[in-house]
Amino acid sequence: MKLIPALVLSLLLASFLSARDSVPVIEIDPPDSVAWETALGEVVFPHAFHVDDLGVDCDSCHHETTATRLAMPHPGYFDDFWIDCAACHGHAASSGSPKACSSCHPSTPGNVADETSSSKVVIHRSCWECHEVGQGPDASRSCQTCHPAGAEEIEPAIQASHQDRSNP
Amino acid sequence: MNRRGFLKLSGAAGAAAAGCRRAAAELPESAQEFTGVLVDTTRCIGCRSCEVACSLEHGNFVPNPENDDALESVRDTSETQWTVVNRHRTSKGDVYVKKQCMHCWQPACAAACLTNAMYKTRQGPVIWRSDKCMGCRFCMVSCPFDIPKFEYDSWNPRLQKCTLCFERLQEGRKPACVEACPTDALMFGPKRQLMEIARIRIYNHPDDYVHQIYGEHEVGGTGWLYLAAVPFEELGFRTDLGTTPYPEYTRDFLYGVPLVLFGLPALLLGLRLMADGTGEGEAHDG
Repeated sequence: MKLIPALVLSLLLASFLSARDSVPVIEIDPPDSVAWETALGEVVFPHAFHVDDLGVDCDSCHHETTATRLAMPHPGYFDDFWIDCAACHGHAASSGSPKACSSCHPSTPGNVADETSSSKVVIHRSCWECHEVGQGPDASRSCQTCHPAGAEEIEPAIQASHQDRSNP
Repeated sequence: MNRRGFLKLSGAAGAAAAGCRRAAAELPESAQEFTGVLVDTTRCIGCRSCEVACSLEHGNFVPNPENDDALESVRDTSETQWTVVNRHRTSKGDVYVKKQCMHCWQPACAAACLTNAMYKTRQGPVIWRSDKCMGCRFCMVSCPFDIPKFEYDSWNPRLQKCTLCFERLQEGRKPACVEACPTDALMFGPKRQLMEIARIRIYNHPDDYVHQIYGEHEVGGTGWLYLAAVPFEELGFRTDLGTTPYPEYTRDFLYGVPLVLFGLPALLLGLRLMADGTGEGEAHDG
């Protein structure tokens, strides 16, 4: 008579597993490149280049969606549960365009105790993870890496200013 | 009173209270809060984007932070550059500090100005109005931070200093330097709110900051506030300015001037008339 509970249990398990399988899989074609209009010219991020040519993993930039990571005794155990793509990309039924960073990282904090960095800062920082920004003149030079259009716009103003100063 | 009546009454009281709160939220323009900027020097990377953005916005000298060696020396603001970033070698490594007008709550420059050309606006920025200035440069002498700069080389000189992008604020935009900062080392907002944010950063990261907000009380409080990891003396800040608003130092004297100028002659005239009391008849005789 131990058969019945075992049967029930296996049935439950099967239904649970099939239910898990029926959760729609997120299928999104990653964009070739992403462009933003910024205060310092247009910034184009070559997404395909980073993913296909450089082989950067998605989760190197698309971070976990819970701000604080649990201190687990076995690091890595929860890693594949951690990244909840749906939090930003929605379920497959949706159009698939991800939520903007600013939907969780607003430019002005929601309240004075909210220490969430603004989207401007988190986007900069995620690039700086690999493209080291440095300090002082190094930092100034590294702006051009992603903001070439802005730098080109500013260049004539710099030239003009320095000419004025040398021939007063 | 039965239960129903009590509930009705308390509901009405609650609605009235909510109404009050709503009325408080819609303050008239005259009750606007002063705005300012919170500078977190622990976040600054010294890229000097703020310098470039400021100069582009106001048509001033545009520095070339990629190639010049401006950080090698400690610079001051000038009539061609309203803000500069300086590097300070400290016990906790290099710290970059932006310098510009502090936009005092009770500005010495505005109190010293005879023509109200230096003017503290309701929104917080201290601005210079060219149509009122007579060029006496008292503002330059009075400023505890040595900020207003004069165009000595010009045939029609102007007073030059940071305006906190007053024109941009009126369009509902942030100051140019704040917008350009890639690390949010600069944060724009009402001073009351910035003070709370600054305090929360100190409370949450007590080891990362000195427990002082420069500008909270200095010279009676300033619009620009600074957070730092090292004592402010190490970063070139003046810590000998006291907490008395500068206009206070001259207030008694300035109130005394009209009292003496009008009161004393009136008193003397009165004394003379009293002493000449008998002379009234003589005047009629003549």
